[in-house]
Amino acid sequence: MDSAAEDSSALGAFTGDGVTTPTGAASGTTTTPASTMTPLPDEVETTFEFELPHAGDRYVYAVNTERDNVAVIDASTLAIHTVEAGDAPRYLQTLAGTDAAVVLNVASGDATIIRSANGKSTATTVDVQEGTNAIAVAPDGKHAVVFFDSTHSGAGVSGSYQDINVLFLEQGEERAVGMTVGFRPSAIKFSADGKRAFVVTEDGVSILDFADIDENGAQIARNVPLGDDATESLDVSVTPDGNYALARREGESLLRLVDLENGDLHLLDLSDLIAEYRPESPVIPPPTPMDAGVVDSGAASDASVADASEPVTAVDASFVDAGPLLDAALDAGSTSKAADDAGELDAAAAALSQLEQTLPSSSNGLGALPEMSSAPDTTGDAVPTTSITVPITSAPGTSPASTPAPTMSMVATAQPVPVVLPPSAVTDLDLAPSGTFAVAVVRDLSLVLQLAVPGAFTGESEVRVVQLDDQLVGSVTITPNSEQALLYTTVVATALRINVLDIDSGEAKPYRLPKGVQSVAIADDSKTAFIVHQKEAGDPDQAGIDADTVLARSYGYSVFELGTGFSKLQTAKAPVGPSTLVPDGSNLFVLFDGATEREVHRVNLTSFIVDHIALGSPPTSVGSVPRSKRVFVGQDHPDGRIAFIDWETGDLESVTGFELNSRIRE
Amino acid sequence: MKRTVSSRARHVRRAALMAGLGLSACGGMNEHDSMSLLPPLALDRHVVWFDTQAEQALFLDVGASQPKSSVERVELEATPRIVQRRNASNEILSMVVDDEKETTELLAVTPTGVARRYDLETRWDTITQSEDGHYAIIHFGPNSAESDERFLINPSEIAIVDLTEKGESAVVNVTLRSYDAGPRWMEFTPELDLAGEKRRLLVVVFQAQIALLDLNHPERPAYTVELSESPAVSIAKLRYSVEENKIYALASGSNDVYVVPLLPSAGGTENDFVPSVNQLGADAGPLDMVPFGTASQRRLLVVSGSSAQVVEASSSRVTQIPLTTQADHVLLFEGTSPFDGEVEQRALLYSANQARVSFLDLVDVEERTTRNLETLNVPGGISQVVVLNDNLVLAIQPNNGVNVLNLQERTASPIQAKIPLNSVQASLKTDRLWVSPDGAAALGYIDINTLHPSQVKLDRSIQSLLLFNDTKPPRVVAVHPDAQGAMSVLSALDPSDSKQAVTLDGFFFEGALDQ
Repeated sequence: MDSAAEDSSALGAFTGDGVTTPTGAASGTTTTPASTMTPLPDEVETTFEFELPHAGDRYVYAVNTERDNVAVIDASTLAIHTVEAGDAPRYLQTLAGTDAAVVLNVASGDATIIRSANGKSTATTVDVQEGTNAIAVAPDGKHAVVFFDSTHSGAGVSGSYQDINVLFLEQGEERAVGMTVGFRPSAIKFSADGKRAFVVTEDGVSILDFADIDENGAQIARNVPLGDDATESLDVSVTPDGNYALARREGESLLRLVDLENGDLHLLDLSDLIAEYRPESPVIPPPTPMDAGVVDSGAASDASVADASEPVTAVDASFVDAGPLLDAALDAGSTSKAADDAGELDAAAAALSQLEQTLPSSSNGLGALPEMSSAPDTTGDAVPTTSITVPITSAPGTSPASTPAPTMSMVATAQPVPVVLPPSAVTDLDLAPSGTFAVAVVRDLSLVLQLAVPGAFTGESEVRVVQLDDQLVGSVTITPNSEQALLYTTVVATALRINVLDIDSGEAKPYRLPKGVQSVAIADDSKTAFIVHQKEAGDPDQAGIDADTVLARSYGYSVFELGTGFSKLQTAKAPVGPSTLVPDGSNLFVLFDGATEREVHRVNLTSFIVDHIALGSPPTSVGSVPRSKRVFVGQDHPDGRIAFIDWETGDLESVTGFELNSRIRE
Repeated sequence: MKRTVSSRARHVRRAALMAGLGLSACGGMNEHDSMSLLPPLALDRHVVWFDTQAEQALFLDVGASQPKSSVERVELEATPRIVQRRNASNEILSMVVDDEKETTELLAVTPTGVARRYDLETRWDTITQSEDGHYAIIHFGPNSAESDERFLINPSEIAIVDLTEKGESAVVNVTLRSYDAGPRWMEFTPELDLAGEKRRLLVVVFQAQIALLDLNHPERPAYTVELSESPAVSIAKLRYSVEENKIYALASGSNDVYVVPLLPSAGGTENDFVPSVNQLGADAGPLDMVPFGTASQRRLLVVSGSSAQVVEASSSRVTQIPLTTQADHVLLFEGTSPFDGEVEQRALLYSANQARVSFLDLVDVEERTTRNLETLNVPGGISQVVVLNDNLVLAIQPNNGVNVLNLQERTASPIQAKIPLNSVQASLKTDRLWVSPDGAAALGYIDINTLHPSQVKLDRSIQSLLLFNDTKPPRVVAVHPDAQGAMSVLSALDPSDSKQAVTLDGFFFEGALDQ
């Protein structure tokens, strides 16, 4: 912690030097309601897997743990055969576009490598560490790393916290080599050339050089620490060339970049830079004793949710307190619907909504944020990067009758006192697929920071800053071609915006969305995004509710064209499930498992037309099988069921009963 | 071969004459009888008997304007054991055995002689033909092991005979994989387009397995497809969907409908197609089913007592339709309804011993469900259904009656009967239903168009009733129980017209003394 602080201080000077402020940016007077009232929840980052791991090029692999075998389904003919695995096979991963798979047998402590061709499969078994439950396959399919992921282990299941195996998968020469890595591995990254793997552990990044392991056998992997304090909770990315690892801890503004060759650690503390975009501490009147009494209980709550490192005075607490509002919002029977069953997101959104009602000019979903007209949204005008000032010292507009909000009439008689604002943290950090830059987002200030890798960390490059004045952005997703980024927030259901940031120009264009964002994924061609929307609590079919409420309460997703900003909303009766984008990018397949809707949506990414394909049982997984141009949909069925959908025609064929199919004999 | 009478046969016939006339000439005669005839068959314009004693086939022409009381004889040179008309052909198939030579043959017999002989390796006891008469499968029946005197038989041995071919190459012997007690029955698929080649498959049904054998390539190995591992599951019905290249199966002891898609092989198999299995959850005990819909949207209608299900096989999606009256059979038809002039696919759902049937309109049935359902009272209930033309169905009552159901009008016209009507025969070419009550010297018939019942008195009781639709005029022949041979030949268009009626007697021995 001490060294981090020193580094932070040192980097602070660098950060100041490196800051570039877009034209028109103001400083010192910017604030947002969220930063002064109640911290919003962390941004929700949902991992989308466009390709689930059980599909090979032509075959789909389904594990049958009870029968100790793996069903291999030919997606072209639906013919099924089984291949014997070890004892209790459970975890399976296919090998990079081939008809081969690795399956971990949890009872026999080994791995079976399956290769399929011409309707038949062969199996090779290698011993691995007991308790191994995770597989990561190199992009070239020549190596895999298997390890015990303690975050995915069930009750009573344990494995080694530092022993892993490297699998050499060349046909005929399959073998496993044990390696020792840092404590508690949680993720494996690979260099793009597949020659090295990087094991993310609580001790840092353990580097596996496959050629070296092939030559020298089992050994202790070289470990590169991510800082003395970096023991856990780090979000780590590795550049495709394997030269750098980029990390951040949730809730911090300190970023870490480590040179994986020499171990040099570069810390980039963005707090000073961020501070330049913070508004000057607003001058606000303190509450009267009566006010203090009214908000007292909530004040304690609010102080606790504010950053503990910041001094919070009684006056601060009483003024910035949003606790009563939040409490009221979460309280069942209040004017908010958040207390139903919305969970954290809806509760936060509802709370924010209430808070925003205390602010002037609160006409849109973001409270005091100025309303954006819909026309400019769709035309994609660049966001003005000027700051806005929210006069939070002004009297609130209206306050819900049931909410004991602080009233400005009461504080008007007191002396003004400056507010100490909590520090702003990076809420999301995304490393570009090219590995040449990263984008960090600070939601509190709607800041977007573009960081060259490694330049921004070594002082060789500046940090480009974009402030989206009237937007709430806390998450970022960079396109696969690294040319654009989507900026949005996942914590406010009523934030109906998404911004497209052009990486080269630094210009961001806002586009209106019909519903709040829950998660975003971008197609491989970087042209289309799949946006899953948030759903507000409540039944959309409830009688008497208006159309907007129906929409807000509905599940749904949008397909978003990055080039034009055009989006199409598709509502649904069930939560958006797993999805897959077919390799040629023509169609997106989305699963829905609801009481009345068990189906697949086939979304044509040229026309955005959605075909609804009904299923006979709950869908659980989806993936592409390239050779046959089909998508498989795994379904929950006691005998095993997979549907195959021709991604060009939408024609559907199902196969049920893997074991029976495997017993068809010629 | 025609009329080439062997010395043994000649001896038998003379002995019969010596013994006197009037002995029963039915197939149940004992070894002391002069003739031992299997039940007669109708072959175009001939009544045909097979004499197991004389090893002959006897043909009597009833197609002439004035039928003669004489028979043509064809020597078989072995003892006929099984006879049946070859489908869609003017031949009789007869499996004959020669105990002395220990040979078994399948013969294709015509009025002019034995057209072809096929040597068989095993003395099987069952012939199963394809509908088009192209193939005959010779095999053991399900109870052969109990009835056969041999102490070693393999019930999974079969012979596939291509009846369009001659010689050894026409017979392919196959030993199937054995399951349980062996094959229970065999079916032929309709002509399917598999892997770009039109062909039929032989489907051999075991307890819970089916074997699939490509009849275009009988030398290729059979597939065996197991539908369940449970010993309680027993396949009950198969249906075929040509449009989908699928076989549907129902089984007792299972709540599922099984679907066997037949797909082109992608390699690795000797056959150029491969089967797979799907299980479609239907309901408790599906009892009957029929595929319906268009080629692009094929579905399956299943009935299981108190409900019907529409199953989309491709997605395994099932739509439940509760029924107000029980149904365990389904009959698909195309026609109008009293409420809808469009000719569309509809279904009749019925059950034995139920006094009501259901009509289900199949267009949009998954959306409309019970709104597409209508019920109809059928007085007396149904024990058996005979499909007639023009969407007419003969619903035979359990107790001496019949209803003619008009599927388009959705009406039931009852006809009372004093006799059981289980043996009713329908002639669509003459628009008549024929009834020959056991032991009665009368022939009943009903005009399908007018539902007018009639009957004609005969001199003697009827042993067999044979219909000849292709003679001019169409004729109906009542064979009487008489050792010398006796029959009444009537016009099928006007049975009561005595001028067109002919009685033939003594034809078994007509001209015998000349020989």
